[in-house]
Amino acid sequence: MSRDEIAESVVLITGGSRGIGYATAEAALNQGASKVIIVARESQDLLEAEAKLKVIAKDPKRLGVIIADLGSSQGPLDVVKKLFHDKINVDHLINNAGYTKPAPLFEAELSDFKKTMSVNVYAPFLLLQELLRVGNNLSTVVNIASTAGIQGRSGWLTYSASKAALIALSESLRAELAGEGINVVCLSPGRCATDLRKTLAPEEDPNEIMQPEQVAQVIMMYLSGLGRLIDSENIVVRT
Amino acid sequence: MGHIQFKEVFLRKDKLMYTLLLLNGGLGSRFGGGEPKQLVRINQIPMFIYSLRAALSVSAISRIVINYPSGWKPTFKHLLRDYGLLERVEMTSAGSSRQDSVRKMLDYVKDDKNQLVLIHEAARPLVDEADFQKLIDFGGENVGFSIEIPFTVLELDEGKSCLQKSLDRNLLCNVQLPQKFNRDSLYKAHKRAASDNVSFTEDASLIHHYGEKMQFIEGFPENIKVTNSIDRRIAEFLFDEKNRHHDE
Repeated sequence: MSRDEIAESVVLITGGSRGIGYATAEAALNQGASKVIIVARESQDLLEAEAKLKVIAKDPKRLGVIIADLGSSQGPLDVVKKLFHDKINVDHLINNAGYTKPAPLFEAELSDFKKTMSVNVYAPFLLLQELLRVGNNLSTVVNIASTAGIQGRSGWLTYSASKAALIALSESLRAELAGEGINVVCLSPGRCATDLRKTLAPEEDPNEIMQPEQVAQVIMMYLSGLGRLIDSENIVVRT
Repeated sequence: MGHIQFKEVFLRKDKLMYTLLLLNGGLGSRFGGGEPKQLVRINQIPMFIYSLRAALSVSAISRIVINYPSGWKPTFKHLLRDYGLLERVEMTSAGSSRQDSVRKMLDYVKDDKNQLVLIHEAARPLVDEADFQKLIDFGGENVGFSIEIPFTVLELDEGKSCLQKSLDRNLLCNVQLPQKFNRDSLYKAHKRAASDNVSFTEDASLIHHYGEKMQFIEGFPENIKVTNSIDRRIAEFLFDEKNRHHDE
């Protein structure tokens, strides 16, 4: 059976080396998850995140790192293959990895748009589909969308479109997986101090906006039994 | 916790385990479209998937056999793979009739260590874990579900034009699947029926004909048989309602 709690559960977080993903990994370890697995591309950030999380985890078995490029269609499948091979059942899937390269219509490249869709929409879809196909018992899926998916802004068209797609995808999944006992949650953070936000709004002071740790606390609430009590559609998180 | 079960099944020595035979071999359809009705989609998901999912959540069911209508193996295999179920069920071809299909499936599992079989039909997608469990928990070996018949049933003559006999509604019941049986008793009865060349519309009547005791317990009215597009719409409504309750 899958778990409705954080303690003793296995949490898989994409984009776990920075921002909301990293803060969620920290929070899940602090709240007693039996294992937290972060998925990210190879980078200095990932090495640093791994080192910090190892200290929090204490027992090295509580931390897993899977290197994958979620922008490719093979990346998510490789992640599941690895989990299956290691006989790990994920209880909570946090689709957090995000990509953006903001550009106005006249400058936007189709290849960038496709990459945005791959990371922000197709990867969550593929990960979930493949996990369920191999027989993983899932309790919760949290898709990290964005308020940009509700209201567009000039120059953000590819990002906004991808997040709107993720919100709609989550709504469909909620209906489709309700009978399976899988709680599908869609969170749309507003302005949050992450690297992605810096790309979107380079002029902004990150100290004046919502912090990743605050979003992580909201995610933790959804992974607890309490999350089941909230009949959520897209939930906006902002300060 | 944390370790995936995948294809493993927890076999407890103190617990009787069951084999589920899922009847999925019918070719007939009142839906039109030239597809077997088991492929009709309920909330976009093929009808036969629902029964499999329900059965997979019952810990006492350790083996599942599903049959498929002649010529439709690739379609069903493909869907089972899509839904992550291919490794968890066994497929076998259907017979020339429902009765022949059951006999073939019993033959297929005759050497299984599970002495008890559950028989269900894919056309009843609203079956859930609790239905199977109620049947399993009830003591007898040959047990089925029945619900009341709310309307009058009469027996006509062979020309179907004159009333032959009125029937006491209080003694009649609407027979629902799933049912459970002692596998060897049912298999023996099926072999005799084949050699006697007699046919029955379902297995309770068949096993009873050959002298076995068949018991009935109260079924669930929601466990409807989906045979036409009106049933399909009702099933979608019932699933939506069930999912809402699931949430609540």
